[in-house]
Amino acid sequence: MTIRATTLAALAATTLALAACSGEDAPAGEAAEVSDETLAAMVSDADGLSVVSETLGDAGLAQVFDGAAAYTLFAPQDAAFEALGDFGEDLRTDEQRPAMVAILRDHIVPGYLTPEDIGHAIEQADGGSVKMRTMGGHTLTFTRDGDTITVASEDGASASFAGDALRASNGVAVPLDGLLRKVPAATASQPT
Amino acid sequence: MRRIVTAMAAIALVTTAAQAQAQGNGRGNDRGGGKPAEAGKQGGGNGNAERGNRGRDDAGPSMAQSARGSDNRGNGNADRGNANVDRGNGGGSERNAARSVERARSDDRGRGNDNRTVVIDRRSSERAVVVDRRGGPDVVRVAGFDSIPQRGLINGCPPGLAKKRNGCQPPGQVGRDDFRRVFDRPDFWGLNRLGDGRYFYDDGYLVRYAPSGGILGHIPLLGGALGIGNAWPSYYEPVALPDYYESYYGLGSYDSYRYADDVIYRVDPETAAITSIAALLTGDQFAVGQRMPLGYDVYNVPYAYRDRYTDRADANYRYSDGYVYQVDPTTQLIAAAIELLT
Repeated sequence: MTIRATTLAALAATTLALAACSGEDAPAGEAAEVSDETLAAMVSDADGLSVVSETLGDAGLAQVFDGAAAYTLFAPQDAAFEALGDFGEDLRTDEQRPAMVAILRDHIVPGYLTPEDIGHAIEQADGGSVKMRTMGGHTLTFTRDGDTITVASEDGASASFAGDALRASNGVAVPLDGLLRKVPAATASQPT
Repeated sequence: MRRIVTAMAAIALVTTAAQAQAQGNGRGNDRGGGKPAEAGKQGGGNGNAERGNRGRDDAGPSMAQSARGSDNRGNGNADRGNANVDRGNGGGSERNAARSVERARSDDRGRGNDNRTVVIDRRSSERAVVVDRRGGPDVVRVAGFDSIPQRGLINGCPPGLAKKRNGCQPPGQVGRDDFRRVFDRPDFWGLNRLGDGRYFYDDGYLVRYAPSGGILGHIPLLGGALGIGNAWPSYYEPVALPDYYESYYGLGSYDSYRYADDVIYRVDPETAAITSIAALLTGDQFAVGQRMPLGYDVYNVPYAYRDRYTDRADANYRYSDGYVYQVDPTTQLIAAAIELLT
């Protein structure tokens, strides 16, 4: 690891002192308990996320969520894949793993986002929606209707938060009731 | 379109130069030879990163990409802390996978206009340290992926497909239509830069066909040809990532990882077989003094750093690709880039 001798600037004190303050704009979300486990471990142990967990393991992505870098995974529940019928089954095959991985990349955003952070941002935002980049090169849009937070992808697919978020030491997993990619089962009634 | 050459070595040199500036004495030659970019790093730091040959980049859908890695490194043509590795005349217009972190003038912090700051936060210490870099150029890039090329299509038929398709002929309308409709588009794979055309997803590759029917080129896909256990394709030469990324993502030595299209892979140093995925990156570009990219509306600082970087009236904090950025809530200008070292 790089060792850097540094020059402490007055800016440091200013920046850090202010950073330490919890301003009125501070997002909520710190009250919930955060596990010492990594995100990979928590997803692996979670009920109803076995499809995602298996995919992460098979594709070598689990290690991404075992490291120091923080990610937030919007994890479609198993029922979301089951609802896709044959397409959902095919997605889980080895042959279609690249497609499944591509889909899941658009369910991952950088950093540590709790539902409370997202809800707070929506409240503060003009227009009632906020956007986050995905690791798949697209953008997700979050909105809220009452207590329900919904997330939509660029191609028009959408899903809602479903169940408690998993708050790991290095990231968050938020269960979703659907996929954030328009796939055949979803496009049947919504032709592109 | 991509830029081919520019200067990984230059950036590395700039990185080193900038760090050395912060360190006083610098780190010296701590890596030895064998790694072109690193060799560049050890040089005197003279050079110019602005002149890469980017011209042959993106010659179309079937451009050969195999040579880019080595093109990018080696010459150590980095400038004297000028850090102006901006990519001159490349003519490439697409989003670069390259992203850079520029530490630039630290605006209005009472130090005049010639300050530059880099914040290095170590969780092992009680407080982060702001490195104040006085003097020197207007912009100092101390870390970046700027010269690491986006991968374009590789000429010809993918390995294995020639046999499968009896001479690498287009497959025709085989397979399920619903799959074809979804997967046979670069956009699905986050590869919009490949442009319009006739594509087909097959056997771990996205393949592009010519209007006349022949195969123009192919690109290996994460989870497919770039899947666990597969050998890293020889036409994707290794690239050296900035030291900070090696540290932050725990990548190990230069020969133990590979990079392509916003993904860092771990490989077996002996066999170059892919062993796991080390990191996913957004590919967004960040520069101190410039606007924060769109798509960072939500506070997302890693949990371990939330006590230090909390949004407040005059500063927001957003995380991406290993850095926390301090952002002016009003102007959305990036005020500082914060490295998160443990």
